[in-house]
Amino acid sequence: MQLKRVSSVLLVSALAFSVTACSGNGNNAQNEPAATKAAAESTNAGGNASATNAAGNVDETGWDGSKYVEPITLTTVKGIGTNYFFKNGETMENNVMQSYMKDNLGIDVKYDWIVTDTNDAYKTKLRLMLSSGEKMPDVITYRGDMETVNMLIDSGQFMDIGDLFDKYAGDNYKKGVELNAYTWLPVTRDGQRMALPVLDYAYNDDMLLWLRQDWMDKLGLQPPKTLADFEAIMDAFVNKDPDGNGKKDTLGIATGFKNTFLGWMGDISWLFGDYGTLPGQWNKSADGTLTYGSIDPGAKQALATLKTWMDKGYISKDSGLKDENGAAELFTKGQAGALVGRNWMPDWPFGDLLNNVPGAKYKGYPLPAGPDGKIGAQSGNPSVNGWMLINKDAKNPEALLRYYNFFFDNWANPEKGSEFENGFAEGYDWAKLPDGTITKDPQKYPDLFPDYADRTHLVEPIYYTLTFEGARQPSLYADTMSKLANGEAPVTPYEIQSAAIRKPENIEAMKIVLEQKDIRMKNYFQGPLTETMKQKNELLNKLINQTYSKIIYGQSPIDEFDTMVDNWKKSGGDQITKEVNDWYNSASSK
Amino acid sequence: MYYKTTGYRLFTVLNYCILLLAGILCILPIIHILAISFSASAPANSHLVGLWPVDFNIESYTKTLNNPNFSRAFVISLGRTVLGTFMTMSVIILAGYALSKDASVFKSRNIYAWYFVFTMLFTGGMIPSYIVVRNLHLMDTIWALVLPGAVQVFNMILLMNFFKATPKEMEEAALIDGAGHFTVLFRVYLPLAMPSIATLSLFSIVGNWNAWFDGLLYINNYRNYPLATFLQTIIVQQDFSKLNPDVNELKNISQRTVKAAQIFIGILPVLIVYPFLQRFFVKGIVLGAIKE
Amino acid sequence: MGTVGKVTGIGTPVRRKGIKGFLRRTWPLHVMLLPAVVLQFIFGYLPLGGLVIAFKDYKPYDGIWGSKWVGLDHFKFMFEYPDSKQVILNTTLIAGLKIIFNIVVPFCFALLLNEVRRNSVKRTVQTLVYLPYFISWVFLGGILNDMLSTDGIINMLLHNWFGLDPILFLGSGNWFRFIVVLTDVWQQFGFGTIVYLAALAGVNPSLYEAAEVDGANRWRQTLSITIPSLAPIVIVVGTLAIGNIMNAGFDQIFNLYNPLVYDKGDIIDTFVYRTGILNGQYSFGTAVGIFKSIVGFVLIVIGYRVAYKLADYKIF
Repeated sequence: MQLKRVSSVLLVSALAFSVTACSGNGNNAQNEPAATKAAAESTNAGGNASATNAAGNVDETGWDGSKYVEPITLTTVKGIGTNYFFKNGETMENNVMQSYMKDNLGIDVKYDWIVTDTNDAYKTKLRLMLSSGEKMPDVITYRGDMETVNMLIDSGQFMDIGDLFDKYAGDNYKKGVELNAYTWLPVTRDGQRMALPVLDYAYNDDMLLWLRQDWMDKLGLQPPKTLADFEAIMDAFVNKDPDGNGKKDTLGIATGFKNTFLGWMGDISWLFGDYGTLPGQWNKSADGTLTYGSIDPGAKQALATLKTWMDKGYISKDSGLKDENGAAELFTKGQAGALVGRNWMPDWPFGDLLNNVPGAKYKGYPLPAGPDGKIGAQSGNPSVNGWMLINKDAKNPEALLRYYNFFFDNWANPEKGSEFENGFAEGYDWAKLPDGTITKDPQKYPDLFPDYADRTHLVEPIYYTLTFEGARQPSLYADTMSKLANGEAPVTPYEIQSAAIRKPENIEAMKIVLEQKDIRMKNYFQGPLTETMKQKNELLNKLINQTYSKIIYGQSPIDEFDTMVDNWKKSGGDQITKEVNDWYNSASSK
Repeated sequence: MYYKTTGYRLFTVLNYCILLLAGILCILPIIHILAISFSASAPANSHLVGLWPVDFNIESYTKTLNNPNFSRAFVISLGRTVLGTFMTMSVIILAGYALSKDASVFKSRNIYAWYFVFTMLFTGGMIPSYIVVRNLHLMDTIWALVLPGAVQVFNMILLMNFFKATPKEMEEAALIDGAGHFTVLFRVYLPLAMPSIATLSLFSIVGNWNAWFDGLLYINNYRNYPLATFLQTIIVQQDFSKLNPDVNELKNISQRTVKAAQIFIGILPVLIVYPFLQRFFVKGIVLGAIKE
Repeated sequence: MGTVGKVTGIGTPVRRKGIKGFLRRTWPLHVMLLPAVVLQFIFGYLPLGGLVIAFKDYKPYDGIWGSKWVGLDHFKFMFEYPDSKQVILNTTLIAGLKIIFNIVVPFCFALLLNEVRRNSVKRTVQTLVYLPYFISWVFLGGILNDMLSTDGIINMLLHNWFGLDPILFLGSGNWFRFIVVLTDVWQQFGFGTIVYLAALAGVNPSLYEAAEVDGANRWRQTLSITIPSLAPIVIVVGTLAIGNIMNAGFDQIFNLYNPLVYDKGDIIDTFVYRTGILNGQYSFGTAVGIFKSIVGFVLIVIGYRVAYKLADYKIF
């Protein structure tokens, strides 16, 4: 009975068990009409363009400076996120954004297929498409694992976008990309840039320490400067009954390392940072070479500390069985007094804490420094949250850049009084009350937001864009937040909006992040998996995770760490280190 | 009568205790899940809900039911379940009957049997299946959901064995009357095998109702998803390791309650259809008695 | 008692002169099999071509024919992998225990239910025990993690009743195996019970009446009527189940395991998941899949022969 039982995760992973593809020619018949149509339309456009070119200001692509004179078609595929809400009668293919872009820029986006992007559905469909030899659309935008991006690049169906970027990218986009010297590294192949980055706000995934401020106040504790301070705080949290229920059921810090010691929530890697290394990533050593953080001698000290925390009950006895979400739950149910996470946590999941524990307060603090004054935390990588690839055979490859430019220039940081000052479209994501104030509450003013299907959510057309959320200027978020934190009055529409929706703890946290930005430890390896990694990563990760957990739980002595390092090196680690350094030298020499 | 002896009465008491215990062990998690589905998201996300809802609300259900795609998905699922069950049962009844004949009268049966058993173990997997469905131009049709899984070999073998267990006297009587195989199957075997057919139909119904991955693969328009696929897509296991979330995205993350509601919706057909199908269990016995 | 053999269907149909010719006329049987054969050819056999990538270094964009042949490299890699012995052993052990208990428990439970004379009770219990079958492991994993955590309900009860110190159930190998098997049986036994009850519903009541007249007590009747009636189905289900010896339940293990129990709880599928999916090694995953299928198939063939030899019963 189990033979045919289909298990969800396994099926998603069935990719690995059984993959085939017809030869590259087995194109999907249903794609052809769209493609031919696109071709026809662009020839059409070309014809018209040359006609109007005589008039002077239309370039060879049919662009007159603000729009395509004759609308062009851009084919793509789409994964719809959970934040996509539509008005009655509107769909992904037919909505206010679609018609705006068609009317004002002359860009008509067509979708070969659309999938609701949850549980990796978009990735699965994309890989299926690739594996079964279907024709790729003009543009593919992808957010998620680098492995899929590499697969798309290696398919050879997408173009080197280097020249395109240099020629067509607007200043705002270029500025955002230049903010970090390493932005292109992950998609560079033999000096060619194979994908366009989707930019995101910088400093958004930096870590800081969140503490239960009501517990701190109750126990009269001072902000921690050093690891020793922090341990004293945790001791008080555990032993002085901060929640006042008379039971010894509280924890020092919420963390979970079931999957990784470099987590995105309830992170513990900062403790390793206090000993000068970060696990699970490639750090730069004193002599300039890259070394793997998990085998650094500093990691051994961090593990020894972590073991004492386990013994003293500072961390949950179940920490080894919890992932990031599980760790955060310890904090949101009011059991743990500390959590290391990102600046935006007040929005989620800390709202749960306030709901579950009336009177709870939280506050962000800088990460405490280690015994030798060392301090280090993850992040510092380019603020890129997705990649866009352009088909070699696309008729108008530059159209995507013009599309993106439009949002950088008009949406990312709109001027006061400009078209997108309040949002994308009136009646969709904003409305004006009779007295002139702006509202974004469809539940309270149903007349001003007509045709809503679900009034609990704002319909935000900006999410329908090819580029996920229009465009984001990487530096804008952090700059605005620190401005607000310093008490300056918000001026631009973006600043006014941030001041309105960001919680004060969030704004304060961002200031802390900026102040401690020198502690960032970057992962210097940004390339595709090396040959030995493909063969040995599983073995080596298993070795490390197993040894780490067993040491923390006292099932293995601390000196097991040295045996692990030897094994790691022997079993392919040395080879990987060499490959990683080779990659780094070749990539950074350019 | 055996059930009037003291020993048997004692056993009955013990038996009821065991069954009660088993029933409780199986119903508690369902109650727990129901409680979560009727709780506010904060306590649910923090695993603070036990067997009773915390901050009772029905948002997880209204959220699901209010989704504009829900009713459509529901209808598609209903159609798919009816059609799929009908297809599967037709195919396996016919094949199961033929295979139930002994090799001495139906020589090639063994070849057929191994032909099917082989596919229980060896499967091509997702991508080749996808290519086959696509090349047959079944994409975006209900047939893509119904046909690939129509031959349930395990169920076919079970049914074949139920057929084999059917007393042969009636078949022989019918044969003497000059009936053909089809007549024998429909007049003699089917009525006798009602309990097993009801059981296998149930498996097929819940299988079709709860299948979601094929919808994802073979339906290119998300508005035409069957219910199970639709329900899968309104739940997210967010992983922000690579993403910088938006404030607005973050507000949508309280999914544990919705997930609980989804499990409950998945169980519904069992609760509705199963009691109805159980009636055939009794009928089977009665019919069996008539023939002696 | 003499009718038992006939009821359970063991043995060949009685052949008589008059109907002999009819039985020989097998073309309607071929027709009946045609839909299943065709469907299975299209959706079962055609995709099997994809298995060829187990012998290739498959790259999705090169397609199945364009990828390079590597012969048995992936199989070699599997057997030379330092952890493969441990992983195969874990898989066999966990899957084996599950197979055994997933036959024994539903079988006993069906016998118990069969003794219930009140139909309403019978039906209710039957429905209730089927429900856990529908809870996905993603969710069930969460519930179990709560219940079995060091401050969870189980440890609390053990402490209150027996004064025991908290046990790290999911963090120690032997407990982990025990819990994996126990919860799997708990989740599946309702399903198995239904199959057996369907078989019992077909048993002719007059057999029991005859036995009653002969003075056989209920235990005697169970031994000589009920159990033999169930025997063929048990043999069928059991034989098909041993084809699963390499499938220890990916969803379940994946949602419950952690680095502390890698040495006792890591199974083939989770291992392949970590290598194959995370690194995009499709060919390796397919090779492992073929290995699993071959082992399962061989075991089914053996089971088929054994059942035929010992019980004189052809399961399919």
